[in-house]
Amino acid sequence: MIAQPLDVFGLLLSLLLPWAAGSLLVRALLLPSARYNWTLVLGHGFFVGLFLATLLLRAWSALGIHFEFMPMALVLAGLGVAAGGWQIARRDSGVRLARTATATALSVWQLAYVAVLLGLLLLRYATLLEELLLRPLYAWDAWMNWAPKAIVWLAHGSMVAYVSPEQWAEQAGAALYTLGNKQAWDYPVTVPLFQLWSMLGIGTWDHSAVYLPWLLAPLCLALAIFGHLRLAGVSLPLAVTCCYLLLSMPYVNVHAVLAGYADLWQAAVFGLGVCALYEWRRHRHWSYAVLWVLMALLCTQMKVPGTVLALILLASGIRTLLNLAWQLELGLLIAGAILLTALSWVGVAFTLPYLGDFAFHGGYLELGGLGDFKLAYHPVAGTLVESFAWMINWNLLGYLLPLFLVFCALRGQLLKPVATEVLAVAVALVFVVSVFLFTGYYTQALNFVALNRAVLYPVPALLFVCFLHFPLGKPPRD
Amino acid sequence: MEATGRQTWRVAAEVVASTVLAAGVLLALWVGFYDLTLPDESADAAQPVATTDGEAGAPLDIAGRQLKVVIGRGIVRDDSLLINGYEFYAIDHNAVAIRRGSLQAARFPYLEYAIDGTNPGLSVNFSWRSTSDPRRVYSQALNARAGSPAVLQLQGLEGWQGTIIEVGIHVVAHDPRQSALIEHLRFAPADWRLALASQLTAWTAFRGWNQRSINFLLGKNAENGLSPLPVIAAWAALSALVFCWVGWLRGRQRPAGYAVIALLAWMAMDLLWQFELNAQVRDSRFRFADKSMQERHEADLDAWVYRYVMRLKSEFLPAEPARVIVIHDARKHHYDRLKAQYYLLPHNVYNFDSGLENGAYLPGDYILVMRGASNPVLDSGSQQLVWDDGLRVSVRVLDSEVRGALYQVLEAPARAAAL
Repeated sequence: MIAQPLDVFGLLLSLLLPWAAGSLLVRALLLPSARYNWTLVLGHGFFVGLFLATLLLRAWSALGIHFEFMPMALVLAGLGVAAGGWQIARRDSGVRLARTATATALSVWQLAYVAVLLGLLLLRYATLLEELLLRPLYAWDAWMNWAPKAIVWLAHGSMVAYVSPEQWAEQAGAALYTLGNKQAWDYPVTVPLFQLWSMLGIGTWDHSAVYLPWLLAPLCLALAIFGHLRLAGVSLPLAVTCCYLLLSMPYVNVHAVLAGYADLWQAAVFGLGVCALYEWRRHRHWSYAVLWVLMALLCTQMKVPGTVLALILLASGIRTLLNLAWQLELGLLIAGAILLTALSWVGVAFTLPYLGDFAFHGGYLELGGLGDFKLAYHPVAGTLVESFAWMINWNLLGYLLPLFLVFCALRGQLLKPVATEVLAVAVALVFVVSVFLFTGYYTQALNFVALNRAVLYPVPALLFVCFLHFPLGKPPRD
Repeated sequence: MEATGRQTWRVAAEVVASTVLAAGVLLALWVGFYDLTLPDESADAAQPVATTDGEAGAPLDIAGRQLKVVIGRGIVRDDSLLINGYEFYAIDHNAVAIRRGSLQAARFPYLEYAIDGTNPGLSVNFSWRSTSDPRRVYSQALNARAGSPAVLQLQGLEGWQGTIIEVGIHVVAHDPRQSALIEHLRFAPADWRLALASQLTAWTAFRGWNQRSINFLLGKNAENGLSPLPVIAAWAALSALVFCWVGWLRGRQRPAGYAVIALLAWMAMDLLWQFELNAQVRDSRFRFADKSMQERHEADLDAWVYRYVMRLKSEFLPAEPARVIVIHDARKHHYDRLKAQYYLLPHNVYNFDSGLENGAYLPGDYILVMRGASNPVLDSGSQQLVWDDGLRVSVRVLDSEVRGALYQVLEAPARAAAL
């Protein structure tokens, strides 16, 4: 397929329409809670809107209708208009917005500080934008695993099936496709559908502008985190600092500019899930429960490990619902550990409908569709230290986080029962590190192929909870 | 309000003073530590030293004009060598200038160089051979954008051991109109100033994207030497200690000051990263700006694959998606074969090993055998592709050239009766 000229109107529509519709829907959802602000709405709205666009693509394909951008754009616009209209109708319903942050005037110092950080971010993202638009698709997995499905679906006008290489070789016709990576055919389809949506809008698969959502994703994630922090009463300079740290991290920048991987999306929706979970825990309004569950659902749609991140989010929410005394939680944790040890010793195996086979015996663990693992300790801690303390991937995060924890401990903040959102982030960190410490994936840590990509998943949420509970800020009362 | 303003000024002044003092202390510590880690000269003195080495302890100078161009072209300009002609390979233009002789690697842990190659799209590398394996050429990217003399730490680089028998400069240009002026190379003994300069050179060198950038970022252009991150962290830690000491003297600690120090350190690293990104964009502008997507692919790293596949698509493959089986000798993920698959899209590509193991080729299938593949081979007499397991498939040869061959299956295959 030869590249077609870029349709600028379609490009803008493919970017702005899902964002606008998603934001209107998110605002409609959060309106009854009276706790939101425009940055939070715009941040979540970008991801919700793009996900809606992928649902439309799936529906179009399921109904056997050939992909056309404008009809789908009209449906999306209709959804946005309906959400907006509903909000206009409710304008006099008496809902009053919560004050989102300290209303005290900022000093010149604070204003100058915020301006400097925003200026640095402006420079950074202008640089990344130019680089992204100039360079043809570069990163390996982007053109091996993710973009091919979108290109094929664009050509066929529907989501033709992808199968394993073995199934492909057995087929009698030419209807089934496979990929050059033996595992990738079964990856979740949402990220290729993000690409397909842009391709349909732009009118070609071969243009760097297809990947502009990769640049917008961290910006919108930061917008949402900023909104949540402000809503929680964190000061403007601190909230901006959090966004600056996140958006300036070299590894986040690389995944934005060498676009096409799914990891940034995975990190974003998990981070947003933690934000929504926090807000729900504090104020128990169903709106944020819906948002939290929606983000957990999105986690499952980005990458295979997202299923575990979704389970972490859901389990954290259930913990909030149960609201058990910490002594009881500790007892349950110990009992669970004993039970797992016993099961490992005795051995257990069962099959769940739709989910597959599960087994746990000795050093062997099988988790349905997630795969099976031989559990053994692998010394990859040095690689982690190298990534955080020597390479520039995460700027100074690897040095500052331990200091931050010590500082919290000195202030007595670590001795309190752990807040649910903090626990969710901690468990996610333990999960990604454990995968490399105890399974065969350790080789991908030693050669750095997957280590930082997996660590990226909890990093935005980690920054959020650090600033939420920042000892020098105004910590939320629990 | 005024009191708060004065306090802010005071904290700011204390933070600035702490960071400046810490930088000085760090430098002093580094110099002291460097002296302690200098190699033992007596061990080195026992080694035979070739005459071209010069006197012990003295640097070895090689002017640009003393280099001999072995690939490409160059002209002597005063004492320098101007590289202005290249030989094309793959997608870039190459020139190599060398000097043969003999020097002991251990005596020269640093290379000070003055090379003017500040154009984007130009990369300059230092290369060498040693007696341990004379056929192997080692290479290390230089910081050609440094402008003024820059320093490379040779000690610790793979291959910089024993007796070096050849050194050279390898220039890779994206555009053959670009030139590089090699003014001089100076192989120097250990010196703390050179050590410091080599770190600054490595941190500010343009590294450019590579296929591992998506997985990790080293922050410097060489495997040896320090990363900037722990140095900046040490600076921040020392600054915090000094700030703590100042607070102790004043009898009052200001926690916000520590946060500011941490942020300043973060920003220092951030600016270094921005410096790298700026250079990256300059390079990308040079390669891709004001070009159509087709032209950008033709200027990219995989240009040969792109051109080849586009030609196959326009001349031989149908407009509608067809089955294409790609064959290559590589068994693991291989850049060229996977990029060929990408550019073949939306054709229905099977791209593993030596094709379909079950031999289930269908009439009308296309088989692309990429360059270098040894299995299958074409039996030109019978017009069959023959695999080493005995499988034979009748095909029509659509295209055959150095980059590969394209066939179309005429009829479903039959296995050979006897292998």
